[in-house]
Amino acid sequence: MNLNRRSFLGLAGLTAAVAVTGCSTSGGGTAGSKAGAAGGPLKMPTYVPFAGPTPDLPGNAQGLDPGFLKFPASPVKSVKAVPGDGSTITGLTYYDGPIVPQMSGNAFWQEVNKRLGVTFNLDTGNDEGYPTKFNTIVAGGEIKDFMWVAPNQGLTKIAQLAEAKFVDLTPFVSGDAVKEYPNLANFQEMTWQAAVMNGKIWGVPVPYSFFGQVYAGNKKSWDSVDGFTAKTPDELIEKFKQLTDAKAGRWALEPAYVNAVAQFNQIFRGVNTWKLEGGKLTHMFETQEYVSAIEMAIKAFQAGVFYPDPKITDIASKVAQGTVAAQVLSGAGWVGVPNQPGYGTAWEMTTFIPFGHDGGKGVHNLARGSVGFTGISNKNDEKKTKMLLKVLDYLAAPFGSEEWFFLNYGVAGTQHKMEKGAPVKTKEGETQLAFSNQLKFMTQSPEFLYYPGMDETTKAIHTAQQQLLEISQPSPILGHYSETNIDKGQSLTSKVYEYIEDAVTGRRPLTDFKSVVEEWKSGGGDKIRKEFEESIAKAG
Amino acid sequence: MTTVESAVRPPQGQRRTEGEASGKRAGRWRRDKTLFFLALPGALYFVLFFYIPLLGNVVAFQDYAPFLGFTGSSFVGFENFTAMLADDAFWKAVGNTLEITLLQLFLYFPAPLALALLLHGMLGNRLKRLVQTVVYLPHFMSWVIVVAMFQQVFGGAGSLNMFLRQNDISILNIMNNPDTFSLLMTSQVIWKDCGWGTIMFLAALVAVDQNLYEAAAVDGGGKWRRLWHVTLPGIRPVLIMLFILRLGDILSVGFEQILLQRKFVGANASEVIDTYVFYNGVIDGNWGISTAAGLMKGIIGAALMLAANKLAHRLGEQGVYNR
Repeated sequence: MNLNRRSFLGLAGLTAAVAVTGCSTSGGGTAGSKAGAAGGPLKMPTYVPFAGPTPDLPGNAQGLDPGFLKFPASPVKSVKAVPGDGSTITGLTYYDGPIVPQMSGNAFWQEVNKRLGVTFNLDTGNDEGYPTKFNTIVAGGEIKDFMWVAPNQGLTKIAQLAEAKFVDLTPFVSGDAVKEYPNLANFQEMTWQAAVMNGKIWGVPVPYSFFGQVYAGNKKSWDSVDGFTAKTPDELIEKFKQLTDAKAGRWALEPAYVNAVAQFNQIFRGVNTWKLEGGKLTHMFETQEYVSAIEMAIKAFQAGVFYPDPKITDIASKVAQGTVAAQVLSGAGWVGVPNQPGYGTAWEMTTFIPFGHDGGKGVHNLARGSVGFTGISNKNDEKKTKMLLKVLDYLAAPFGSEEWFFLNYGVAGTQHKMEKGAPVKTKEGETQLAFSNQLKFMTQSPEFLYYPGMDETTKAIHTAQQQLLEISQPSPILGHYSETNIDKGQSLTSKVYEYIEDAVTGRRPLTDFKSVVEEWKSGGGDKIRKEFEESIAKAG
Repeated sequence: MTTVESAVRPPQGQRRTEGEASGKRAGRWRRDKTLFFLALPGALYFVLFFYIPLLGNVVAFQDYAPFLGFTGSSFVGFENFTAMLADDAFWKAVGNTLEITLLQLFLYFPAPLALALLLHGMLGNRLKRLVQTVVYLPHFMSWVIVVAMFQQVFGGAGSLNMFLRQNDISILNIMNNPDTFSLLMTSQVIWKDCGWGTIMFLAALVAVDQNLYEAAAVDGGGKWRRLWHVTLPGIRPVLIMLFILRLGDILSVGFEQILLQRKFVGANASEVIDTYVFYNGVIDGNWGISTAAGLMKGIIGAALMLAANKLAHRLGEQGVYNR
């Protein structure tokens, strides 16, 4: 919600479908919480929810985001003292957006330094460049104080890297120790798992949506065909056809074929990457449901309902205009849509809640509630580590706290002014606050829903979240760790996904799928399965 | 023909005897000092950015992890090469590379020559310069723009296909057709770089002795005869040099260009050695195998170039450098 979602979408897009299905090719792979390799079982940080303003629409521990219709009138103080010790902090983080004014000309940045008692000296990477930049910095041996470890981004040998270069944060945050950092204690257990490997906690996770990918549609388009739902796959394809008018330059679906297959997979009640039965794992590639989903996508392609070029750059505006009726978004990207300029007046969104292919309900495959984690360089001693954790604690300040308000809106009169009880960024603030988006990829507030002046939208998304949670299934490997998956998972999966693109567009026959999956298995898929099964067995 | 060759060949310096040379060494240093220092930054550039990075090829023989570095990673001998040669995707990439590169050699290589001949034949200097400027321009556009423009015009939702649709004519699959991808790539390269490629040829054309044309005309040689007997032999050394240099990077076929269009046609049609290296190494973290592939590519390119140069020398041509 408060990350720069649109740009992060691009990052997720690199291996979008991997992210969705929570295929756990996560850079920050997760180890069994009870499967500590050495030193006994790992105690996850105690969850102490933030006692701030009561939301109008309550959230829950399953991942439902709290919704606020009004901006909290009196923000609560969540950090007691200035966290920093006056030193300079280096960091590598994600940023993709307009150029941030330099520190010397950026009053907000200076104020952040002042309030946190440090000087931020951050290096950033963006979309496709992030893994390269990360690997280059690692190769150069200049590990920064904070290193954001991206999930699904082809950062390999992360466990080894962490053992060699990061501080083991387990003694600092495990169990009740985390209470020292109240805003970090406000992170749910599922979120923390992003930073767990080999039974130790290697960083502070970046909280993110618990929801997996969803089809977000243009409400007006879908209202014309009686809503974004159907009773059978054929009926849905029929609706796609009705929404497509190539002569007029209108198509039903964006050309993200793999993401479409993932959506259709949920109609067939396919698994969330893996299915666990009696200690045995089956990958979604090996299930009939997934094949049915590919078949459905092939049918849709043959019906010509996908946008005809596989690359589409301005998809958000095409959906807003109704030129394309639906696009797949990450859970976080989805709830970020109403923050886009023009939303609510120019267009509105509708969400696809997967139905069952044979009647009844479909499923929704959950994500993992985080987007990577930030590791702390082990060049820092214990005292400095504690200081750095205090800084992250400040950055994790939740919605409704004074610190969150400052990090997102700066100082009244300079970066924002209050209008009708809600803050509005000044022109100066708009540019300066871009710095805030760099800080968010070190860590940030847990998710929430707040769309100023759009009560109906807030309620609609809150309702859709409840509907998705009703049919949601988490990935069974969440909290488990496979070295092979981290090293090779992404590469293996992307080969299968490349085949799926070929199959959907008719470049290769569906009969090849079997051999592609065989290759996936022998290339490492079977090994990944074995490692996860062992991890699950160990955890009991 | 001999006249032409000696005209292009730089004049030989007068040979000195041993004694004279050593005696004049100090004098030569004084004389050439400036030149030496002028050349120094260039030489340093090559050492720093070309020769020293060559040492990084050691990764091809290691199970390399960036954070362990060259010294920390273990040596695995030729394992990376064996793994690479056993990888179907690698051979697919080699096949695609050869297909694209041969097509470009036959279709793209002659294109700037033809354009240069046309430009050279143009009368009216102002018009000629205008045309030259226009054909040079695309070279300075990035591939992102070129590919986007091609998509805007020829793509599935491009202006051509929208026009066809609106007039109920069946659409043409130009951008998303794996079967014709190498042709599409070659036409993009011609569109972008053909004009730029004329520069060398134009310079060579100017150097052709005008008297020969007159002599040929007097002997009754028509336009085509003059082209065949005067122009082409006149620019032959340049032609051969460019051809040999082209062989050197014959296995590099438009990395960016392909990366941008990979989604259009799938990896099967578009994976080339360079993208194989990129996806395997940078994206998937298989540094060893990728470096092995890059190293092989470099060695094959260098071998081809040296062989072609040798052959050129055998046939009495200058090649890339004088012996």
